[in-house]
Amino acid sequence: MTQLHFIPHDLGAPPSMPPLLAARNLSRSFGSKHALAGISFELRPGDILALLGPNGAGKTTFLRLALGLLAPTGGDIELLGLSARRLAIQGGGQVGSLGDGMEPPPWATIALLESLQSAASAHFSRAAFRRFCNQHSFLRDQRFGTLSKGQKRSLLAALALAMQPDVILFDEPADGLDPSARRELYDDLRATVTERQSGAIVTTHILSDIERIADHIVILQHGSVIFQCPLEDAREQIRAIEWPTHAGPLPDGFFPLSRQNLEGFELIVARASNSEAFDQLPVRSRPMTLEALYLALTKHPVEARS
Amino acid sequence: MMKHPTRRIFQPALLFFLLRKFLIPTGFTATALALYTLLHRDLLTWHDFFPIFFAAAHAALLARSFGRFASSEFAFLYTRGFPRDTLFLHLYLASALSTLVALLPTAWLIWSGARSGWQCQANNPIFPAVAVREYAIPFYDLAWFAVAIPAAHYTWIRLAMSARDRLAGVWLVIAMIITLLMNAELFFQFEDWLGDVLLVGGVIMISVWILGGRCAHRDLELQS
Amino acid sequence: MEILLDHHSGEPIYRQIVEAIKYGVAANRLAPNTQLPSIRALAEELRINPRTVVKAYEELEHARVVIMRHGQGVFVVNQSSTPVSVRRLALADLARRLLAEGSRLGADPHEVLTIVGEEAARMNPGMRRLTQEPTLKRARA
Repeated sequence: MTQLHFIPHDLGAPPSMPPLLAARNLSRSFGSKHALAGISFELRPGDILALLGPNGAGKTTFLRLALGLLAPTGGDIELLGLSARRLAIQGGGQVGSLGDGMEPPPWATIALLESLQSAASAHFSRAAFRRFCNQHSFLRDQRFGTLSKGQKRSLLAALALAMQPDVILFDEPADGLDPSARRELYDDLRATVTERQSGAIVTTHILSDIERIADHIVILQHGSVIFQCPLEDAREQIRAIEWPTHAGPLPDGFFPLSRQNLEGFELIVARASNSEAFDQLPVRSRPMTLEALYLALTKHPVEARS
Repeated sequence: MMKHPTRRIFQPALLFFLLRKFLIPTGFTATALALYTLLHRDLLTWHDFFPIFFAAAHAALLARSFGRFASSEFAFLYTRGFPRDTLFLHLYLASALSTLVALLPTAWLIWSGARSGWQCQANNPIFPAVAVREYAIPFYDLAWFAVAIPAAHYTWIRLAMSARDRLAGVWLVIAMIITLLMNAELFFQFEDWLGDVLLVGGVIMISVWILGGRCAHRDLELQS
Repeated sequence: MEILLDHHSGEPIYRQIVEAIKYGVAANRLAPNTQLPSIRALAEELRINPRTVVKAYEELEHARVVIMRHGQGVFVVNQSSTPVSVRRLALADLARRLLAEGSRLGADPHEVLTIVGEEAARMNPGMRRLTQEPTLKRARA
């Protein structure tokens, strides 16, 4: 299993404030299968963190650990200063979530879901939820099972956001939503997170959505974090360089993250201290889309040299 | 000063939600028990097979309805923010109410004399004379439910523990249930003293299942 | 003034904001002393993290394009020569990149300058007229 350079990231929020969520060397195995093998990262107030990775990378397992639905087999995960398990046992509605495998029964009416959630969460805003229902023409006696896939997702997202939680965990929240509905969902998420200085962890395969919404990127593969970085830093510091083959190593100050041999040159994804540094190179370099970066890091990573 | 709604122990919305979940099992059991009570020709006793069977079946249905911990609905309920103990309490409240509703027709049939009347109509010679001796039957039925339900819930809760903790307790429960379901008539020949033993033993087991269940319930895991 | 962000270009968002504001000032669309949106307001409008706006405003203040006055807000700097100086900064940036690219292609600065001259001569007469327009209408920020 390759491991890339673990580059610590500047989190930006005052270090004195405790993180909303902290995974420390978190591991979870199912028998001999290691779903998560020692992952560590933090979620700070006001931030949206995107958790990326191929299917089976451990994202769903992570979410379940964060929700207290599973216990870690190694390391720990804390939310709001408590272990995730303890927080789940205690209850209170500080964690809003949405994901595959977490859906209400089809016979449940929207009114019942509202009452249920209201009963569980200390800060549930019925007004906000009803406003959402009106905007989307949901009727209170409509049953959950009659909704389309996209409607279900956006309803559950609205339900979670109306809880006014401190931590939001969204697993593929935009699944089945058309682009304008996706935009609206993420706009709501950003507005909520900024206003309440809460934090959100989002997983999705649609990387263009991540480019709009994420402050931090964490890439999981085979249960480990292979890359994590604030997105703005990645844009500033990482570029793709067309480095001629046999031109020797990159100059000082450039750290290769990915190398790919192409016709006559190597496509190297490298990190430097800032974008001006790339101007000094004798060859062209280009900024990358998140998709290109993700593919480079997952398919052609550089082996760590220690 | 009014307690904040979510710090309240009792949550009507949650109870309603669970009762709605239990609607179908409740209906089935109510119907089955009522038919049995109406039509059974022999004197009803506390150790008849079918009431015990229905109690066990009802408990199993409730446990299956609620306790499929790998299901989407279970994960949804458990991620709303309810304290674990609140969910546990309401599970039992809903189970208790479901049981009372399921027994209502039976109790009515016996106490109103409807059963007696029906049996007389069907030329059953022992009626209406023995009717009085059956008045306590609904309570015996209730007692069997009171044993079966905690056993069933304890079972699914223990199964939801991580693999290494699963073994203890579950097999005990299963063994007891199998024993009970075996021919009750044959087993319960010596009514009086065995009845007392079962009563005391039953109370102990119920307490273990409820208290142990509550403890284990805090630690359950959703493993798919 | 509208700031249009491209989240997919790989260009840091804070830099896009900085460039947009610098450009606005240089092109005289943002007059000196114009108040810019508050950090919160701009973040809300652009739907981004306020910290990104903070970074942009800090860089603009560092470049002496704006000034943050406590309790009052963020203002375009009040210097009569601002448009020119900011324009110089923006053009210097572009020139640096052009020269670097030219060097990668094997050209020396002299060749680059010659080509710039040729292009300037060939430039659209209509465009020249537009830039010679004495004052553009001052739009609200």
